[in-house]
Formats: sequence, structure tokens, C-alpha cells
Amino acid sequence: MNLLCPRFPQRPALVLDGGEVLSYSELQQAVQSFKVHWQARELVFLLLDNDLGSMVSYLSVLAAGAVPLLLAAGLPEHALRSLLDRYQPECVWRPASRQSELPGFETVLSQGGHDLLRRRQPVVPQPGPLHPDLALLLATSGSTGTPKLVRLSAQNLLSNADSIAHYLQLDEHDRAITTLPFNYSYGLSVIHSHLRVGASVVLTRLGLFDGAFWPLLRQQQVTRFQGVPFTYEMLLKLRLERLDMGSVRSMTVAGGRLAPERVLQVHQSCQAKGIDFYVMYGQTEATARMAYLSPAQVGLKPDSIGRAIPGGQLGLIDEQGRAVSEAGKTGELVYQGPNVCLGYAESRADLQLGDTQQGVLRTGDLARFDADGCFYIEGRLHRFLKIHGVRVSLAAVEQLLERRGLTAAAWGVDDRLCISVQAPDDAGLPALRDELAALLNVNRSTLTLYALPELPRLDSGKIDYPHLSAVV
Amino acid sequence: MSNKERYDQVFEKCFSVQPSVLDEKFVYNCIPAWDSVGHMGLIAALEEEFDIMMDTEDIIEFGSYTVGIEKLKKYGVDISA
Repeated sequence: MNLLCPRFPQRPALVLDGGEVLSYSELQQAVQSFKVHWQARELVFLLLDNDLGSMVSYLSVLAAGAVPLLLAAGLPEHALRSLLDRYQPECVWRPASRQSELPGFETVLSQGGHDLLRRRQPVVPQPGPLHPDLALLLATSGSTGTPKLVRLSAQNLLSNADSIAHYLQLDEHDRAITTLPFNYSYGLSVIHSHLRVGASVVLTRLGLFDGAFWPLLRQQQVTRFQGVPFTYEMLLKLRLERLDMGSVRSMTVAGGRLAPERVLQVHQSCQAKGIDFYVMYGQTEATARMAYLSPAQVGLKPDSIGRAIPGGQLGLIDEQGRAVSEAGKTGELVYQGPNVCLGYAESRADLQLGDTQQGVLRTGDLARFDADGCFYIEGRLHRFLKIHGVRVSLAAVEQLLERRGLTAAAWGVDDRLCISVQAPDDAGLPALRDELAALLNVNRSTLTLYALPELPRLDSGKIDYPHLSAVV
Repeated sequence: MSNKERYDQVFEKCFSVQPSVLDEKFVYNCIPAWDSVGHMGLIAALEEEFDIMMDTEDIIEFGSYTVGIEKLKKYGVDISA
């Protein structure tokens, strides 16, 4: 698969934060020459950051017809080990700073601050061939080390990138800047949608609180900005209304719910600057994007996710699986489109599977729609939170604690994970909080731990979650 | 309580660190807790503690424990006192 737009070979494709520019033809050349390091239909773990090496490596794996699992450069070692055991990749490409010995692997290439490790011996017994439609693997949860993966095809990637580029009206004059992790479906969708139309991307590891980020955004004349709800919390803290956004002409939020009053605040600041603000909705299972609310409607319906993206369809089903056709009634949100993943994987053997979703995704979100056909998320069927854009399964957190011999209940709201631990007192909690923050790869301030002598339970023996939040 | 004590306590509480680590080497990203999420919490806590509202540039440039002392001077908060 080749993601790169062929129409503008001399236009810039990538801008590095030192100011170096790579044209499409230069990037294409770099990808072609790096391609020799991969073999078609092998499984490769890529530990990525927003830098040139990561970009060339990722694009060349796709071009070679190998299948990458995208992971964060800073993935905790224990999570990497567990994924290695489960999926048995042929190669691992990682930052050279990660020096740990990976049993069975040897370093075959060290270049540009990265090491390529390859298996000394083929895996025995040899795993079955990767399904021919499988192009890319993403993790459903960035943090708990939940080993469940989403299987994506080339068609998933290309159709979603093209749909996003279409509704955002991206063209070759646009320029994005990385503000999200490379391996995160939303961050990846920004890269894909820009490179498909001949636009450029500024690659930087700088964050919003790094002093050098803002001059870079302005000097490089970035036109497109994206973030998760927490990014917008940061922008509002930085007094967005007074912040010089340079050449930015659109801003998008996705990856969780931004409170309607915040949406309005951002919208108003954007309007004053002549910037279009899009509220969007998606999941990794849909490659990235499923719905968006057009800037003209954000001021009127700040609590809505809008309508399906071009090429997709949104609908609701009731508990019996029947279509909900009445405005205002709640049902499970179901999406259909060419960007719905092939399915999940929980083992290497699952990578032989073809399309098990058939273009239909039950989102697990409860929603309603209004008379105009705009959708509103009301809650979730399943127990998970988003912490700064990262999905965290509450059940997985509880299981993780159980493996440490603790009885605990996880609950809370987005960006705030609460854990009630069955314990006589809170003596061990500060240490546990630090440990959990490291394991889940979230900031410790997002975790609140409570000690309870006994967790409240229903007659059925199940944990009484509403009661849990009431007692604290 | 002196301003210095109040300033230190905000850091200790936000990042759960001992006062002994608070010096010119205590900078943004030096510990996992002081990432962008921690930075938001720190700025909000300082603004509340000293009843001030910091400017964009000062929030971005607030890159260390020591730089922070300089930044707060601008808002009439003298930490050395």
C-alpha cells in the first residue's frame, strides 16, 4: 500500500522541527530505500514517536506489504513483553534508548537512533499466514496493556483518510502539526488524511507546554490543529482567546467528550480568529472517524457529535436489535461504512482471519438523534473511561489489581479514574497510586484511590457501583 | 505561613515529592508526575493558592521550580520573602 499522494512530487510532505523539509519525492525515495529491511506478510512491532525515522519506517513497512502493530516509543517494557509473547512478531523496531534484551531477537540494523531487531530463528511451530487483507494493527487500549488488537485493511485506512480529507476540505496547501501520539488512531488519521492529498505534516515531539511549540506552529504556517478534550482544556488554560494561532484555519476535537460549555468557549474563541471548529466522534474500530459536527452547527448543538462522515451511516438499535427510527429515543449507536475494521485479534492465530465485522460496528455507546438527524451520545453500554484520550477498561483495571491480590472496584468519569480498594486503612494507597499510574501509563493526578473496609455489594454479590460513588 | 512555604507545599501536593528535591534541577518532565497533565494541575493550584491568573507565556515558560519563583514575582507574589 502506498499512502503518499503522487500528484505533487515537489511539494513538501514533512517538516521537521529543526526546519528541514522533505518533499513528496524525497520521502518516497526514503521509503523505497528503507523497504528492503522488511519482508512481505511478516508481522512487525513498531515503537513510534513523532519523528522522521518513525514515519519512514511506518510507510516502508506498509509499502513492503508487511503488517505493523503500532505501539508507543515509551510503551512500558512489561506491556511490550506480553505482546511479544502473544503475537510473536518477526521484527521489532524500537528507539535505540530501549536497550533491553529481547529473548530470541538480534539487532540487525542500528540507524538514526533506532534499532531493528529480527528473530534469530523462525517461530516454531510456524504461525499460519497473515490474512491477505490485513494491513495494520492498532491496540484498543493504549495503557492497560490490554492485548486486544483491531485488525485494519488497506481499504479501511484509505477510505477513512479520504473521507476525513473530504469533509475537512483538506488540500495540498494545508499543513498539520503533530499533537497526538503516532500510534493513536486519531493521531494516525491526521497523518494519513494529510499525506493522501499532498498536504504536509510538521513532525515534532514538542507539546503545548513546551515553549518552542508555538513559534514552530506559527513559523511553519500550520493550518490545521487537532486535539483530544484535554488538549482543549490546556488551550483554554493558555487563554485560547488571546493565543496567537498563526495560520491555523481549522481545529478539531475527538477522542472523548468535551463538555458542551467548553465546546462553546472554544467555538467562540475560534470564531473570533476566523477558525473553523469541528467536533468529531470515532473509535479505533472504525479506523478513526465515524461522525463530525460541522462548524456552522457547533454553536447551535455543542452537545452533538453531528452526522456520519461521507461514505458512512449512523443508526440506533434497541435492546432487541431492532432499528430505532424515532427521534429522541435512546439506543445503541451502530455505524456502517468502508472504514469499519476487519475485526479484533487476541492471538497470533486471529491474524489469519478475514472480515468478521462485515462493515458494521456496534459502538457500545448509547445515543439519540434529533429531528435534523444529528446524534447525541448519552452514555456507554460498557464500562470504560477515556483518560486524556486513552481508553481504559474498568474491568481490566480491576483484574490488574486482582492479580496483585487486591479486591477493588474501578469507576469514575472521563479523565478521572476512581478506585475503591478493600483495605482497613489508606496506608498503602499512595504507593499503589504511583504504581498504577506507571502501569496504566497515565498521570497520577488522574487517579483517586479510596480505602473501604468492605466494598458495597448488591444482593447478587455484584459490586454496587452507584453506591460506591455516593459514599465518597 | 510564608509564601515560600505555600509555594513549596503546592509542589509537594501536586507531585507528591519531598521538599528536599525542590531546587533548580526540579524541571518540567523531570518526573513522570510533571507532564502536561501535571503542569495543568500545578498552574491551577498556584493560581488558586495565590489568587492570581497567569498569562499564556508565563504558563508555557514555567519550566522549573526556580523559574516559577521568577514568574510569580510578576503577579506580586514574592517567594523569597
